[in-house]
Order: sequence, then structure tokens, then C-alpha cells
Amino acid sequence: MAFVNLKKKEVQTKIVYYGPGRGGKTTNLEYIYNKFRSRIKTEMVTIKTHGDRTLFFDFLPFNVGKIRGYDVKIQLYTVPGQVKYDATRRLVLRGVDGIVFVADSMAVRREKNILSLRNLQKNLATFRKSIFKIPIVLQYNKKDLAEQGIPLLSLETLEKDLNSQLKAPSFEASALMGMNVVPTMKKIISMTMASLLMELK
Amino acid sequence: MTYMLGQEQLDAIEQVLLEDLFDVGVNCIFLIDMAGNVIANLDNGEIKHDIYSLAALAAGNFAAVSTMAKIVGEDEFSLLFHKGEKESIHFSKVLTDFLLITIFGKGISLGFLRLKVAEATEKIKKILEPSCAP
Amino acid sequence: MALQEDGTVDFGVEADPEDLFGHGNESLDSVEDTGDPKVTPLTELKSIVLSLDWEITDEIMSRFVKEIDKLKDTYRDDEILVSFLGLLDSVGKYIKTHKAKAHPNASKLLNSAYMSLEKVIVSKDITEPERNRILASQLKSFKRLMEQIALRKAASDGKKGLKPPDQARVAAQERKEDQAIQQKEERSPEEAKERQLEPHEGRVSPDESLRLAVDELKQLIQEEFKALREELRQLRESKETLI
Repeated sequence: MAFVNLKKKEVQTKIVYYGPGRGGKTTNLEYIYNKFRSRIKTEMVTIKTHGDRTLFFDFLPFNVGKIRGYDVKIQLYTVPGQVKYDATRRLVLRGVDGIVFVADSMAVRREKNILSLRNLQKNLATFRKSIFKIPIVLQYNKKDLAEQGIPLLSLETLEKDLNSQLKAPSFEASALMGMNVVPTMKKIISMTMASLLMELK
Repeated sequence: MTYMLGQEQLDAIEQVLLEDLFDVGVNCIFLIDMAGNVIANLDNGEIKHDIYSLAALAAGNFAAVSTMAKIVGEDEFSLLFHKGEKESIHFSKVLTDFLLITIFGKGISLGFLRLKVAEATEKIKKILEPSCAP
Repeated sequence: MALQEDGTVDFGVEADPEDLFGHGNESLDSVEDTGDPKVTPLTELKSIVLSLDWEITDEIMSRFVKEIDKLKDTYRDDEILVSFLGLLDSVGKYIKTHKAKAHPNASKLLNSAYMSLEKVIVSKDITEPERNRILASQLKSFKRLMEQIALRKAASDGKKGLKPPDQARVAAQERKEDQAIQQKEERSPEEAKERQLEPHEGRVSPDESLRLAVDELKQLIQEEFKALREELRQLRESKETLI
């Protein structure tokens, strides 16, 4: 839930990067952290396993500057994608204001993408939030793997599998290469802020 | 769901934190919501902790422990406290959506701190309730 | 040990199995109780003091006060221990009455007074002057606590005009000054042996210093109760005007 501090003229919102395990959620945040290092004064918080899998969450606070006279602080989180961490994903989703769903474009991950999206819908429902109403952007990650000859899902297939009902903005991306990572983030921030402004009216 | 807190409410909260907790020797106090947002914080001027990261972790930690409580058949645990060599951290739930976190040194006993936190929590509840009403 | 025809093993026990466990007619009650060597008269009080470290409730404070009363009876012939227990009783009752509004140093004093009491009771080779010195040190802390309580009441009015972040800094500064004064007062053990109770000048005999300490303690306890009665009276009066 977004918090508006009328005293400090500050808005804090929470954006969660969700998706199947090894899809590129943490890579998105790492790219953002490295790119905007000079603007982000704190370290990125990561709680992960020895195998570099996210265990609890990654966290990155990000000041986007002033919007309508208010300092906007975005808290970017990722969730652990592995199936066994469902309870943890639910905790991290608490108070979420906007979501980036990072889908894995690899053909072998098709099923996992769909299951993860359904899982997101179910977990949002526990907080009485609807996946159809919350600001959400889809990112079809790992487009760089095409060059290595790895079979990838086409944009049409991904849109049909994941976006036929949501009709959310989507980006083909490569978090590793930095392609469309920032546009994805900018889109979700603007959608979240717009939603927030609507709510405050 | 968005909530707003005005100057008066935030000033009142800061006053409670100052009088009930800071004055008895707590080094750093922050009030957060369960999403990890920082609502108010006070420190002794020497603390250089990253409050925003602490808030995110505290919210996650508290939520994780609450979930464990339900798994073992408890509504919630009455004490969440981490003891350090020099600094310790105590967590206290305020209403359903907020957490009061106190970081304190060896000069104050946990038992006494819990008394003070309980008192402060009651006062903060009254300040926050109008903002949380459905 | 021999293998029997039926395949079982005979371990060579010929006696009646009952005999292995004694004569069977003895009851547990007749067994001599050697007692746990670690259980002392202070065990219960120690466990209460340790639990106070975790949680302060009416129930625990009541147990504390009750246990002190019991120990006062146990040690009624030892004036120094009775003084210690009197000090603990006073601080305990203060915390019980004031709870969250108690001065934070009260629970610290309770702990340190208990530790000193334990030391005085448990140390086998402790001398009488040493016992007096330890008591005097605790009494001094007690006196200091009373002063801090009085100062705190006065200071809280002065700070009301400041904004919270400024108040936070003022409070932090006062805490630092407090700690500095406390550190100055904590001298080395050798120097501490030379110290006498204020405001008396020159050396006094151990008996005399004990008598003075007990008198001072009595006076302080009386003053504290007087302040409490006054507070209660004001509370009653304000309630009456509201009705």
C-alpha cells in the first residue's frame, strides 16, 4: 500500500518483480542498481541461497524525483521464483502497488510462466487484490538467447498465454544485456503513480 | 489501497516515540507499515543505519515469523526480539498494518522496554486509527 | 553367559530380579534427600529477577515482593542482608507501582542490587568491611536514582517547548552526561574501600557506617512513599472534580 507523508511531502510505493524461478527478476534489479548507482545511495539488499537463488527477496529503494511537488520513493522488490517459496512470495506481495511480471521467453519454460501468473493471481487474491485492477507490466525476458540458437517462444505465443485477458503493456527484453529494463521500470512507475493519483482523487 | 498521514498525526507519533521510548534510552525507533514503508523514525544522531533497508527486512522478518506462528497453531508470537552483543532489536505490532521497531543498547532491560513499548503502542494506535478506518 | 537350549541367553543372573532393584519394600519417601547442591535460599529470587529481564508484569512483581519478605525473615539476624533486601523491596515496589512510568535506571538498580546481594551471601571469604562497602555502593546508587527521578519530573516540563528531533538530541546529550557522571563515580576497588558515606567527613567504624546507611535508606524510603501518597491524593482530587 502506498504511503503519503503529508508532512515530508513524500510518497512511498512498492513495486514487485514477480515470475517463475530463474526468469530474470533479480537480474532486472541488478541492472537498475548498476545503471543508477550514482542516484541510489543505499546498497541493494539481497537475501539469497548459496546457489544464488533468491531466498527471501531483493530490495532496492529508488528515488524518482518530484512528481506534483511530492518526492516519490519507489521500493523495488523481487520475489523468489521457485515453487517451494510460495509462502514467502505472498509475504513480499503484501502492500504491493505495482507489478512487473518477468516471463522467461525460453520455450521450455512456457508452462512455468503460465503457472507463475496464476500463482500471482491467487496470491494477490489473499490480499483482496485483483490482477486485473493492479498496475501490471509484462516483460518477456531472455531475448538475447535467440542469438545462441536456444528455442524461444514467439511474442504471439507469449501474448496469447499471458496477456490475452490482462491486456497489459508488455516489453520484449534482455535483463542481462539491459535491453528494455529501464523502459519496463519507467512504465510500471508511471502506471503506479497514475493509479495512486486516481485513488487520491 | 493508499493511506495518508497528516502533519498533526506524524507530529503526535514522533512525540510519543520521543517521550515514551527515546527518553528512556532507546537508540533508534522507527514505525513502519507491513509493506516496509517508513512512517516515522527517531534516532540519537549517531546512528547511521540504513533505515529503509531495515524497514523492508523488518517487515519481511515479522511477516515470516507470523506465518510460522500460524503453521504451529499460534495466532501470533507475543515476542519478537533479537539480542545482539551491543545492540538488540525489538518488534511490536501496532494494529494490523504497522510495526514499531526499537533498537536499544545494554543500558535498558528488555522487560522494561516491553512495558514502554506497550504504552507507546496504545497511544500510537489512537493516532493511527482514523487513517485506517474502512 | 550361556546359550540355552531354547535359544535364549543366560546372562548368569541367579538372584531374584527383585533383589536387583533393592528389597522392593522401600518407598521413595524413605530415601534420604541429599538435595540439589545448587539450590540456595536465593534461587527463587534469582529466577524472578531473571524473568524480570524479559517481562515485567504485576504477577512477577508480586512474586518478587513476596519473596523479598520471605528472605527478610530468613535473614532477619543479619542487618546488612536486611538492608539489601529493604533496598530491593523499595525498588521493586516502585517499579510495581509506576511500571512503564518508572525511571529506566530502577530496573538496572534492581539487577545490580540483586547481584551484590548474591555476592555478599555466596562469597565464603568476604569480610565484614567488604560487605559494608558493597552495601554502601548500592545505597549510593539508590540515592542517585531518587535524585534522577526528582530531576526527571522537573526536566520534563522544561523540554515540552522543543520539537521532537531537538528533544531527541537534548535527551541524547543528557544521557551522555549521565553516563559520564556515573563513570566518574565508579572508582577502582582499592579507591572504593577508602570511600565513606556522604556527607560525613573522616572515617567511621563499620558498625557506625552500617547504622548510617540503614538510617539513610529508611529516610529515602519514607520520602518516596510520601511522594507516592501525595500523587495518589492529587489523583483522587482530580477525579472528584471531574465527577
